[in-house]
Amino acid sequence: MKRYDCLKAVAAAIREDDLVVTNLGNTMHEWLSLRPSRANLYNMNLGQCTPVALGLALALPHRRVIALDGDGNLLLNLVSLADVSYHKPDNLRILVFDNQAYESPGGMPSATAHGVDLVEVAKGCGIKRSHLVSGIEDFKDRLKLIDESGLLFLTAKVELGSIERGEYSVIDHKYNKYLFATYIEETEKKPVLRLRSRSPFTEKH
Amino acid sequence: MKAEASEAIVRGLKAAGVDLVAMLPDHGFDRVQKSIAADDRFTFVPVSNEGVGAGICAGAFFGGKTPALMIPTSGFLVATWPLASLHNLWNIPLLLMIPYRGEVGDAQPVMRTYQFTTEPILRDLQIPYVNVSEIGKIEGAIKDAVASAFAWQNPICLLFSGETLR
Repeated sequence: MKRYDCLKAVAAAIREDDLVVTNLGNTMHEWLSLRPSRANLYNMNLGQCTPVALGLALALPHRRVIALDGDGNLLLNLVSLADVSYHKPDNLRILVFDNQAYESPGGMPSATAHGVDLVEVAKGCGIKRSHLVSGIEDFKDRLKLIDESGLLFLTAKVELGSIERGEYSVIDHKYNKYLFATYIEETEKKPVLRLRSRSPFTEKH
Repeated sequence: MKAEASEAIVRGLKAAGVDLVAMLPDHGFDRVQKSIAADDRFTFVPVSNEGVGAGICAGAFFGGKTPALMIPTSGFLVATWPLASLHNLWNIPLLLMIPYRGEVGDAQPVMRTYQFTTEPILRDLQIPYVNVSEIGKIEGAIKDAVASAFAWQNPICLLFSGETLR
């Protein structure tokens, strides 16, 4: 099963206003090509994809938040699954694409290539809706669970390999920040950036 | 931390509009933790790792919250990775609050290291910080830190020391 095919299915299954937080590297590039949107936060560095998605889900409990994580990214901060389970946000969906390797920096096998079972870890943390998916039809079928209320954790076993990257296909972090923050400001009708127009030092009292 | 200091922190957080607090407890914040957990004005987010707390605060900012991260001096070292690769890289505001252990007079062997790590690493991470050593200055320091964090789109740290801790 190819991650790109899985992501294509995710892009077709989710809503326009779903907020998506992605792993860095190949997942980011593939997602950018499939679902370019101001509702995406791309390029979360190792250990940060699921925590950032958790924070977003807690801040906006009425919005659906989808983390597109990877085995290497999640493994760096595996305890984040314990904290996800502590808070159990109904609106959070965590999809982990497990290629059993650190593919972007050369392909060194990750711990999941040596027996670590992320689904069992998630279950052990108390995330009841945790499932392993091994084929694309199974993956498409499991994606229906996104529409059911409640915390969801899916691990999809995927092959190594990715699409061709364009030379300038990276989105600058700060540009991504302003695209996303202003999207939230527009759709939630509340300020996010809150850049002050006047210093308290110069305000009239 | 003294009861008056804990009460001043909670007042300051409310006055500054902080509405989400991620925390891994320290002895200095035990009273504050209980007050925040019991107060509906805060989304209280206990975490198991300070790095997770920093990531949660970043996500909460994007959701329109005004987050604070309250962590031990030791845990600041754990949080440096997301503070560098997330908050610094993306320019994300954050109120970072640390009961500053490791001052001269904090005579416990395990605290020695933090005398040499805390402030240099804050400077390296480009996180402006203020030493708050008087209880009477806590509330104002929190309001100022949050205002500057959003104006500058950058974390600001308050290190609680002196009479606020003793």
